[in-house]
Amino acid sequence: MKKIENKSLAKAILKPGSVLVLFLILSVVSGVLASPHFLDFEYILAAMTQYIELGIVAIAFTFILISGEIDISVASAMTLSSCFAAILYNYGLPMGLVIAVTLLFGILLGLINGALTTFTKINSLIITLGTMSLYRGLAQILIGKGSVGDFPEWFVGIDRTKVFGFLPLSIFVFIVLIVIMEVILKQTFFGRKVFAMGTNDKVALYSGVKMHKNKLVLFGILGLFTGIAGIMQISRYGLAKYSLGLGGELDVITMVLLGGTAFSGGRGSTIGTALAFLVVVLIKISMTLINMERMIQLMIIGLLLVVTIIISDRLHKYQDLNS
Amino acid sequence: MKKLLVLLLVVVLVAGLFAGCAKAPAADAKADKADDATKTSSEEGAEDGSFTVVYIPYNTGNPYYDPIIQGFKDSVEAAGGIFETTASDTPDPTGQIPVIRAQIQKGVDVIALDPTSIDALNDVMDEARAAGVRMFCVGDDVLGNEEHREAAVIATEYRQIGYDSIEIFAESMGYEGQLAVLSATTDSPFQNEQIEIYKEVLAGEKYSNMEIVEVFYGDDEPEKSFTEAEAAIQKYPDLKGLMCPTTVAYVAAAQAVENAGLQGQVLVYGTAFPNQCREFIKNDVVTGAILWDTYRLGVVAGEFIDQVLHDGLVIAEGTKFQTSYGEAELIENNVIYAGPPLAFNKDNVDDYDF
Repeated sequence: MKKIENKSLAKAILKPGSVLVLFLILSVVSGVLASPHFLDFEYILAAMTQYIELGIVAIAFTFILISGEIDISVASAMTLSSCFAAILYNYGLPMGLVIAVTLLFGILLGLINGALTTFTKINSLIITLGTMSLYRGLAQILIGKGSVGDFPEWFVGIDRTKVFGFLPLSIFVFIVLIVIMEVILKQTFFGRKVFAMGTNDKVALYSGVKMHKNKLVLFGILGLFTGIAGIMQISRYGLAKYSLGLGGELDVITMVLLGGTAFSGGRGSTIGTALAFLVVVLIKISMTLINMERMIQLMIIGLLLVVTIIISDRLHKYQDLNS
Repeated sequence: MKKLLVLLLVVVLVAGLFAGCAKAPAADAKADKADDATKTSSEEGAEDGSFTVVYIPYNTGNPYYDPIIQGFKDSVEAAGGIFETTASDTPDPTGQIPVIRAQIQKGVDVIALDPTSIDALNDVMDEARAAGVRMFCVGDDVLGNEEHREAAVIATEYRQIGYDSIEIFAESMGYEGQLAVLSATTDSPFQNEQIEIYKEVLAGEKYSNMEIVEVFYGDDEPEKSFTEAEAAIQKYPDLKGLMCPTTVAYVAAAQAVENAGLQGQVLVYGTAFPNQCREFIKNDVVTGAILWDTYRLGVVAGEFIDQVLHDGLVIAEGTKFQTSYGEAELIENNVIYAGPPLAFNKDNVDDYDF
């Protein structure tokens, strides 16, 4: 009798989700230990806005990963959209129109990845490895070696505009998008199809899920989100540069995997991604507050990613074995 | 067994996180102790409190800053203060602004900044001053936006470096030929001012047979500067000179010229430490380099800040003060030159070690 009881307790604690909760607690604790200036709500909100674009991309990235695909060109696509918008504006287009066209452009970048993946049947990791460099290179060709800025007053500073008196607008956008996407994922038929595609693509196909069409849609959505992120990026910086967001894909992948989305697909949630975003951002804030060298910061995020993958994988196997 | 493995991994990560943070509690404890010690001696009359100075250079991993940091650290600690330095890894205002904000959050007393842009930092400098942080520029200045910082300590009169270096270089080129400039980033204030001076001088009649064909940007990264130098040599087969107003680009250009076996055909000049250019001078790859005493810059900056904070030194044009190197003065726009330019060549490069 006792053995079964112990197993239930263990099963309850050792859920993949509990890793996330543990890391959340750890990130707050390490922040508090690192610096007395950490627990400042206003400061954390302000510092969070630096990473919010990557968080937004991570939301849509969750969908793609659940469906069994991946897109590591996201940071490059985001910056390419930024540079595209900057060039359009400096050519004389009004900013409102620039935003609309850039969003379409983002969708296009996503659809290119989707089309290449579905029609060549080459693994999306390989395809997007290529487009990662392609998009970054195009960004540099578009904008050159310097920075392009001079955007209208109303457009710049999305991170400093406050909603409800204290919440930076960019964080508000992030929260709204999380809610919308979580509803789509968990409450709609489309969301169920996404899970099905990632769990077993043959079963999904024979159940009537139009794989190609749906994958294209997902890549398109991810592209839209990189477009949104790209626009928010230049609003925050007030300028566009080809080197913005370099290495951002590492952060996005870390957030999504830490949030409980399985690398092999079939499992995940945007709420998990959002909480993981919080963990990563809190850790980064505390590392910056203690003047930790950038290279060591990179190492810690990398360590976090590796440990997350290993632990998540073990816990999923443990759950599967015992259910 | 699997459970054990999972727990072990979690412990390792936690240990890693704490190891990284273990530094900080010790530093905070030291600051508190210093405060207590000086509070009791404040009856002496002197306003000797412990103070924190943070120096934010362009980027991390840039050896140019090492002597400055050392000099700055020595003078701040000699005055009883705590010196810290941190930077973003890209020499960009987008990287510098969050770093500055973190220092404001930490409540440091003084921020000494080497600004990566003339105007992109105005808002964050105002933010710092509104929060009660003293704001100075050390190394470069925010030309045209001086009202956002209190004073600037510059190594030497940079415009003089520009005129001196282009003249020395033009002479070694025989006043003719094509030259390219290998700079840092497109926004860096010092390099842009130097390039302006080169163009201004080369517009003169004496230099009518010389031409700047292109400006390349190495972003103050060794690998990138190296590839840009090689690109310059490839693109312009008649290239006679590479002018490098940044130490990173200078070393990269000299290496590129040496690798291509073009010493004597493509002349390299610019700013470099004596320790960097010594080998190249000995191998006849370059004739020399020009710079300033970087250690001195750090010392003068630290001593100036100490006197402003504790001796009531007034920040105004014309104010003079004493440093370990003699008298220094605040000139127009509250700028201080720490010392004169230093030109290195075969004869004197062995006299210096930095």
